[in-house]
Amino acid sequence: MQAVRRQAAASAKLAARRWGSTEINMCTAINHAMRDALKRNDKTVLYGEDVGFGGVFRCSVGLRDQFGKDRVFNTPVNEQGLIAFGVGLCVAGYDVIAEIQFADYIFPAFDQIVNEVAKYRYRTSSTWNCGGMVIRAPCSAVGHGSMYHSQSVEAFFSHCPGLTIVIPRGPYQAKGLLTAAVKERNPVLFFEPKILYRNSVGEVPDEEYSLPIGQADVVRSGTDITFIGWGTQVAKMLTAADELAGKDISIEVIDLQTIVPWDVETVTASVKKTGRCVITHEAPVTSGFGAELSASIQERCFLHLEAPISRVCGQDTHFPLAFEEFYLPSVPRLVEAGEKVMHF
Amino acid sequence: MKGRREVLRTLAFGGRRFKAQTAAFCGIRESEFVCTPEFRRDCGGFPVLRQLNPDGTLESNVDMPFSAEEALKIYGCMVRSREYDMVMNDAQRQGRITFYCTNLGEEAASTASCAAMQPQDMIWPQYRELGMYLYRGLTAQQIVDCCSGNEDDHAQGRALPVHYILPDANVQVTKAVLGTHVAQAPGAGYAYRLNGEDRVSVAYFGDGAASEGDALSALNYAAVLKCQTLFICRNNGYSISTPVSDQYAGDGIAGRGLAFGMATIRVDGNDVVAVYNATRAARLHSVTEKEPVLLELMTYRVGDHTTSDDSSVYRPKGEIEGRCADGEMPIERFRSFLVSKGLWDAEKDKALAAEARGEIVTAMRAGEKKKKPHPQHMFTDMYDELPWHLREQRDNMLEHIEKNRSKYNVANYRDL
Repeated sequence: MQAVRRQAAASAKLAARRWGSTEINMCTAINHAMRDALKRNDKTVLYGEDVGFGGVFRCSVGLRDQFGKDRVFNTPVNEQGLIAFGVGLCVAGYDVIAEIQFADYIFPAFDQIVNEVAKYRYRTSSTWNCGGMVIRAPCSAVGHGSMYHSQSVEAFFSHCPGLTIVIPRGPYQAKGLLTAAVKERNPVLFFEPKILYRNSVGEVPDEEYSLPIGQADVVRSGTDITFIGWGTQVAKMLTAADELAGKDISIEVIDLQTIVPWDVETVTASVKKTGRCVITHEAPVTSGFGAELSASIQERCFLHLEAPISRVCGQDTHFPLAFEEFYLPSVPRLVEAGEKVMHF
Repeated sequence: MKGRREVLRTLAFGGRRFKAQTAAFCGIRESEFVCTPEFRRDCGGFPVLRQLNPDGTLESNVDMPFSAEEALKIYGCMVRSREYDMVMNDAQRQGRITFYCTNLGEEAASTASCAAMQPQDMIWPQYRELGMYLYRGLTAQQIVDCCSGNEDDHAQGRALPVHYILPDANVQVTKAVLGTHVAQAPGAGYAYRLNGEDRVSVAYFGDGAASEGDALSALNYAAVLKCQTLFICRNNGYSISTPVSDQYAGDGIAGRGLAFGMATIRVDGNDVVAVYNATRAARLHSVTEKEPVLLELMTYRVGDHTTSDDSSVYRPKGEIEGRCADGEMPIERFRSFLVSKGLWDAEKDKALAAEARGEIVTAMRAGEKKKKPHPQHMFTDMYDELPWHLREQRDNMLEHIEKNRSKYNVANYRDL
């Protein structure tokens, strides 16, 4: 496993060195990953509501012109049909990138995802499967989204066996992880924090590369507390870590990247080293994925813990437009949690 | 949808004459303007295609559409469906299997439609299409192994009885969730169109499943995206205890095909010849015109919903007998026809029924003795490769079983 990780990271760096890289935002990075996927395999299609003209977030701009309307197309406004259609395409040997316009609207497709996509391989003893499917959806807070344009829904699906869930923190991760997700032979839910589409900019290799699914990324090394999060929270954890460094508290920041199956080796090695852990996500705290991580980490690292595992998450309310800054797991809340855990 | 066009017409209305104009809005058929509100309810009804009469005679304009050999193959599958149903239903009542679902009365609907397809057509079943499965090659032993959940079951005992699959004969697995597959078939039909294949995808479903959102999604997707897909609805009058009068208010399921812009036909589902011809024509249309077709097969569910149901509680007294009388039932009707053509007789019929019964009884005896698969197969086929958390759970489980053998039925499992 370690060898696989080193190789994947090395190949990404090699791609950048050999063929150059460009500073792009996360939306463009996703566009490039999809373009590469459509180029790589003639039997790959990309579809969803408004995908044809470029998508409401512009992630699919130019792709219909390049690959044709049979392979990049609009669907009727119907999420359950959208995912079911992808199942049929997978059975017929196609790879599918199915876009749900907002993660908040994925719920009509919940039955298809849980009862069909996730179970297709198991109930046919691998004769058929939905491994060719990637379901993409913009997720998480955007600053003005309110209840139905801000949700983080990973916890609902993490409870369903057979799914893989990936959430990138920036353009470099988005392109590499989405490329890996398309190549992966298991169905993947790829949630894209929409605020990062334009706000997150970075150097991205021009050529195709993959980042490994199931591997977390230690974004910042530290010795006192392990902070674990994903997506938009990673930048907040880094900001909080800077502030805590000023108070002589050294934070190790981990981007989980793959929610399920999560990287137990990286996480437990870190917590055993630091002895303290704060988990953070935008989704509401009750039964959020932080609860699963917390339970699992304390099972595996109990004797190494110097303090209870802390969670800094969204409130158990619906996402309120007016109170967004208090709803979200903010940098001040992360700093406060870090101090509390350090001085337990 | 056409471009703008002005047409002047005069209309007579109550003695007064009006000029009317037509213009095209987006997304509707050509329409006139009217100046009196008029609410419409239906498209004028669907005729029911019937070509083989209950007395076993063909309509005068119809020839037998298949060879004698094919006719007997179809009939053989229908009789086997009935005989296997009777034995397996009894087996459940005796506690030898946990659950069963009969197909009584609907043998023509599934067998004859399947016979009209090509072997490469990908079928998504619901759960009341045993005739179709038999036509595609499902054996008595496979039926029993599946219903017993033993180690020879393709799904390794993970699913309920009657959840058959034929990977090498293009039949997807039966599953319990209702109607979800109807919206999947169009995805494959779309792929077949892109590939330029002489191939359709097929979804069978009942009148109850037709109410599910997935079924309605399916019709819209298939029509809009021009999928080579056949939707075959077995309207058998009941969804468990719910009669169709509690299921829908429209003109059956066929009326929905028109609403979604699809070629649609209603057929006497107990008529082997009509079902065969309609399906063959539908398939040709779908592949040639590259669009879906909806077939509503009118039939009747003779048996209970499943062995968990007792329909005498909700079915009017005498209804079954009434519906089964006078050659309405598919096996009897087709037999009359075959006999009239000199292709069959009472002695052959008796022998076939006995042979079918023998096959399933023999299979049952063998199947019940087989073991269940090793429980490590609880964890396989979840992902392409076993992830760490499932490996860990599997190892913990096996260790636990080893320490607690007397508390589990370990003898029932292979190599445990």
